[in-house]
Amino acid sequence: MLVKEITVLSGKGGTGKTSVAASLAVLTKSAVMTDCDVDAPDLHMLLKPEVLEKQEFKASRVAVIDDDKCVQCGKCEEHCRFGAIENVTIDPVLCEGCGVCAYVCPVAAIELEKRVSGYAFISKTKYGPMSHALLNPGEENSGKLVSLVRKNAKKIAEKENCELIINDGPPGIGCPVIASVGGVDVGLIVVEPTLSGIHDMERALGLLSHFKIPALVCVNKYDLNEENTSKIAEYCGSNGVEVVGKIPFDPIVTEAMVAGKSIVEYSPESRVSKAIEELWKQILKQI
Amino acid sequence: MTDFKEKGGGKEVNARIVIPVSDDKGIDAQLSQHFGRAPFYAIIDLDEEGNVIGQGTIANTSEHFGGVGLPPDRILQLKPKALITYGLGPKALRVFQNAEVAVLRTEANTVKDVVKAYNNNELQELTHGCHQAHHH
Amino acid sequence: MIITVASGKGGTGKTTVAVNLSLSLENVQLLDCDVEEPNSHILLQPEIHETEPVCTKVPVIAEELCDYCGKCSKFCAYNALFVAKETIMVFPELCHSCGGCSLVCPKNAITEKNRQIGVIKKGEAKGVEIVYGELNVGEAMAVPLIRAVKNQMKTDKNVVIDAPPGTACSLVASVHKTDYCILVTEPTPFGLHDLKITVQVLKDLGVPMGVVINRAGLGDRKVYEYCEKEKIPVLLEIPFSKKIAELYSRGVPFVAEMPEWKEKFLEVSDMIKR
Repeated sequence: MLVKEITVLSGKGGTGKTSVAASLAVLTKSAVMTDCDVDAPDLHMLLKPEVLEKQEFKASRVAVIDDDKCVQCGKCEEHCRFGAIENVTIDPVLCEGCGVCAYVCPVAAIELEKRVSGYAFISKTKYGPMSHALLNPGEENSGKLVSLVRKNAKKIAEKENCELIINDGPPGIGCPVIASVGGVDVGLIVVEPTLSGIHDMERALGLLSHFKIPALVCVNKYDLNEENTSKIAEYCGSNGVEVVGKIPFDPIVTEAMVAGKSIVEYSPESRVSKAIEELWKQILKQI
Repeated sequence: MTDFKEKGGGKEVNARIVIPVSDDKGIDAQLSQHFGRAPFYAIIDLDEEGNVIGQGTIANTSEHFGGVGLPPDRILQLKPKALITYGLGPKALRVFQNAEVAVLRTEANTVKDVVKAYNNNELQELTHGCHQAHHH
Repeated sequence: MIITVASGKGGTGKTTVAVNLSLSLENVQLLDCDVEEPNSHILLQPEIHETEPVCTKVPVIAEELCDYCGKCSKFCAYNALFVAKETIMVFPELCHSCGGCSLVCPKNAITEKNRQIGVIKKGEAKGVEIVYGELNVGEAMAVPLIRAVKNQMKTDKNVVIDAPPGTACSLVASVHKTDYCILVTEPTPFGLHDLKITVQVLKDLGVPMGVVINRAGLGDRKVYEYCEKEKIPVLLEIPFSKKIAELYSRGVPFVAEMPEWKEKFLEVSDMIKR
């Protein structure tokens, strides 16, 4: 059984990815949801998952100096390329666990220890299963944790016979975003009609095209600047990308968030909810 | 990626086969549906008698990238004699054919079965590429 | 003084605050460390004087010296090297440039070459010097480019750093060795949730902080209650205003059209110095 996968991304932060993703979860009621924004996840605030399984995520190591053995020669500091050793003291936040310091230490005073970088969760919600995670603050390897979240989601989809996985993507275009779009059927970019938003959308489209992933665009708060909304439609048109949705601005979305609900649950008759329903219809035509 | 395990006392490699697989168990791995989208590649070194004298696995996707895939020229860096798969895309097929790497078809499920079939010359050449994974 | 503007959540107004603050102070250097999606140049509209490529180092194997012993691959913590009989492969996109493989190779078969990951651009507008980085699309790691941007820092100037969203390694690299951090948030549940995570990171790093509440008026009071409880000063409130939103959508920093805000940003800077 072929499971379809969509990732909601934006390039720019705060455009409404999570609000849209949560609404899609409610509308389909049969997808496996994932929150791939592992350092600042928000989807759980709208979907209220019950955690069934918690996995430790151990992706990196940290170097530790045994002060009893250390002779303060400074060779470790000389070779560390990450600036993590100052005054022969290791800063665990900057340490990338490469092992070079341990290798060059003449008295074997340095050991590399595995550290827990975060946790992955497998949960259930009112609208279906959910795979999410939390990266410990300051950690790297967010891409690896995103890959684990997606691996868990695929396992769940197979077990529960779900035909669709919807990934709530992180902001940016770097490591965790790349990990959240690899191999998906569609990347849905949510963009706001601002100059910054358009700039970032172009880079996000570049990312999807670099990895040969079909792109769809949805303009959020489109009526805040209809001129820019037209610019977006033009840009997409000339690049062969379809604009599949336009959502109006409405403070009721924030109200819904404060109430801990997705907008389509909080106010199903609102213009925003109707726009999202229409968006979903258009997306279904494409996958 | 798992380190390459060698045995057989430094014997000459007669044939290196690359096979798309869905896990990192090397010689014990299960085949994956489509060459390009396989999560791993098993690398099997055979001597003149068809004995396995080396085996390893590389990831087709890096853990950062979650499903992107290595382009065919990277696979060529492994210096394979043959690729054995259910199917692969037409562009990739051309790259391997031009590099004089044999691309062979199989219906088998495990690497062990594929190696057996290869040694018995039971495998036929794959003559055209397909565009997506589907059940064979 | 070095001030970083950060937030946990994206889209709260970091760049808005960083740019408007820079335009309100004297002798400023603005470093945009959001190398994946740099936006400050869109608001500032600088004339770019210089563009420099930024590279990391990746291993080059001299195969004629290599005997495929595999020591480099065993050492590599990032699976960037694969060794089999008569075969060695490098995966440069996984390489962290630690230099370890070159050190451990018993045959001295490994040297390093440069691999471009992006560019830095330097420019100036309205008395503000700006440096920003642009990560090549498809590159996974932002931190080496963030370090390159920060290496351009001029400590004799008032430095304002526009940080990327999030709470992971990119943020930590941006905030490293800053004197103060302004956290920009919105008074909503997502804003508060992500703010709390960022506050924890800064506390662990020992960085003094203050909060700017953007789009005040939308949402609820929980952010204010949280700041009071944690004794984090609220430096400024920017009300939700269609005029400000409209100026932003056109790429105009609002201190340019609403000069009373210059005073307010100057006050923020004074509050921080105290």
